[in-house]
Amino acid sequence: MNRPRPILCIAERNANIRELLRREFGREGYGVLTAGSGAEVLMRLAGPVSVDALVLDAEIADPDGGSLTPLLTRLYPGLPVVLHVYPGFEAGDDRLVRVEKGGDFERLKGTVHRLLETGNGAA
Amino acid sequence: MTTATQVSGKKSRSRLGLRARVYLLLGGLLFVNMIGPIIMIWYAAMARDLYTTTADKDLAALTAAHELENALLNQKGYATYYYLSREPSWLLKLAESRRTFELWLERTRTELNAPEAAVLVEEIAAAYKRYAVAKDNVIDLYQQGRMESAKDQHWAVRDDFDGLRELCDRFKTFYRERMRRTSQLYLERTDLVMGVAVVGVVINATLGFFLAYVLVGQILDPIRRLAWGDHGKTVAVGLSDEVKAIGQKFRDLEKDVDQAHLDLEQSRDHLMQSEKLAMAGKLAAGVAHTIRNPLTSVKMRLFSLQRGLKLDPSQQEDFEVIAEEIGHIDTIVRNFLEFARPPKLTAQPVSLSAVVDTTLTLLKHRLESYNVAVTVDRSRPLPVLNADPDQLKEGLVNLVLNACEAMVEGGSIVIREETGVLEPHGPILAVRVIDTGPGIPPPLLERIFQPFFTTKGEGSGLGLAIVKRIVEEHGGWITAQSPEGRGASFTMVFPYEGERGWHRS
Repeated sequence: MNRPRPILCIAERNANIRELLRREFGREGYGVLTAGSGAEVLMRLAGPVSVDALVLDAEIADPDGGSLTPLLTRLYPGLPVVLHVYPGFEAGDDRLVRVEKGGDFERLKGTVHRLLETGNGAA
Repeated sequence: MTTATQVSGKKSRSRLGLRARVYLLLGGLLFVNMIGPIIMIWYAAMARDLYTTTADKDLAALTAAHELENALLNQKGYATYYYLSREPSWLLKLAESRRTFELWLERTRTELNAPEAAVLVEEIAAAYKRYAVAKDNVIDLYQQGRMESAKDQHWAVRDDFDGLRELCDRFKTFYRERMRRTSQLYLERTDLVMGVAVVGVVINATLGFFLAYVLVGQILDPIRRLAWGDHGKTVAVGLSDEVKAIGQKFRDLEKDVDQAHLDLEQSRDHLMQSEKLAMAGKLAAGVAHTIRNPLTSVKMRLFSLQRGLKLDPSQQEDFEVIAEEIGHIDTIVRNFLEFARPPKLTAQPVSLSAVVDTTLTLLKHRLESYNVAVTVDRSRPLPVLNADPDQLKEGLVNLVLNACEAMVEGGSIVIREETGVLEPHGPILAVRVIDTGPGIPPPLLERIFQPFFTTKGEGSGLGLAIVKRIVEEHGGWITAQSPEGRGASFTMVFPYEGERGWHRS
């Protein structure tokens, strides 16, 4: 029996990056939901499709990443969250898995994969 | 009681200002010195009046009394000579002497200045009139040859003569007494003037003393202190005159004020410039932040693109240049944002030696690609201090990469760890990065830590500025030296509060 494909929520304020990540993670076999704002993230998570992991742009707006992450931690304590963040940007909970935002998205993919496999995104 | 008196005395003295005290003392001196001449004028006028009274009138009256007496004696003598010789010439002389007597009597009348004297003169005139008539009768009797009657009359006339002389003596005594009183008055007034003069001298001396006290204690001494300073040090060496020294000091003060004014204007200009730069920095940081997101999108797309493209060598070169330049833009934006919005320090106990080791491990491959060999000069690991290791590591990375980029043909870097004591900071820790590159020209040394200053075509000009900011946020400072032809040396110095008692190694 095939394992159900994991569902990811890609929350990214830049539409082009969002679409790129959707495509790349889709190619990897993930089911991908996208969100362009904090409100959309909450809507996706509250929706009928169960999300297995969230890739969250630390600079997402409305509500911003800084206030969104504590909310997510409280509402969805078991949800793995990968914070996609520029170096030096201080946002989110230190306990969240952080991946540096850059041109190479393979690290992000690897981190998400490990997180879903082991529950720990550390390389 | 004494204290209360002193206190009240001080209070009353303090009620009068310095100017009022000086004016009061000067006014007192002027008053006393004016009183002297006024008294002298009064005294001279009084002496002149006394002299006029004594010499012109009293002495004249006394002389007149003498002359009257002489004239009387002459008349008696001329009459006696006539009785003895019967020569008519004695009668002529007698007549002349009588005219003389009458003239003196008339002069005396006109110059009389006392009622008592006037009464005496009228008595003399009346007695003389009686005496002259009686004397004429005796002469007539002698001329008629009635010798016995004449002798009898003659004795009677003698009594009139004595009475008349006595009146003249009384007149003389009156004026003598008057002259004596005048003399007494003169002496009394002279004594008074001398007394006033003595008092004036004492008051003058007292006022002069107080004026000197005020001038010295409250004007000259403060001027001296102002001129030479509170500690007696000469401010203007070689000037013995306090006023000149104060003038010099005042000119120096004016120069200082001018300089301070100039500095203030420069500071204001700098502040305005800084405010403009800060505003421009905020705007630029906003722009950089906005650019970073689409730039990341471009980088991701480029990364995605390179995986599936099959390019010929020239196309591959183009692609790599595009990727490299985008990477360069990304570095500039990242550096700029880091400089504009520095991250908060997360301090923890860390040894700079550990930071050095971590940095070199991190840069191992980069150093190899630059063909740079690094030597660590360390006698023992540096003591632990409270610092942000990530920030220090970033600073050290910047310094090492900066040195690598300066040594185009490769070279060597020495990282020297030092401890020491530097007054007034006390104990310090230092990490020195010394390269064998071409060095930094002296004119550029002062500018290399300024933001956006770069001599490299591809540099952001923020690397050294970020290092400087990181070091300063740790309470330290960074210096750069570049001895001509012997590379460059950057030294990060950090004050160290911990272990005491060690010195520069």
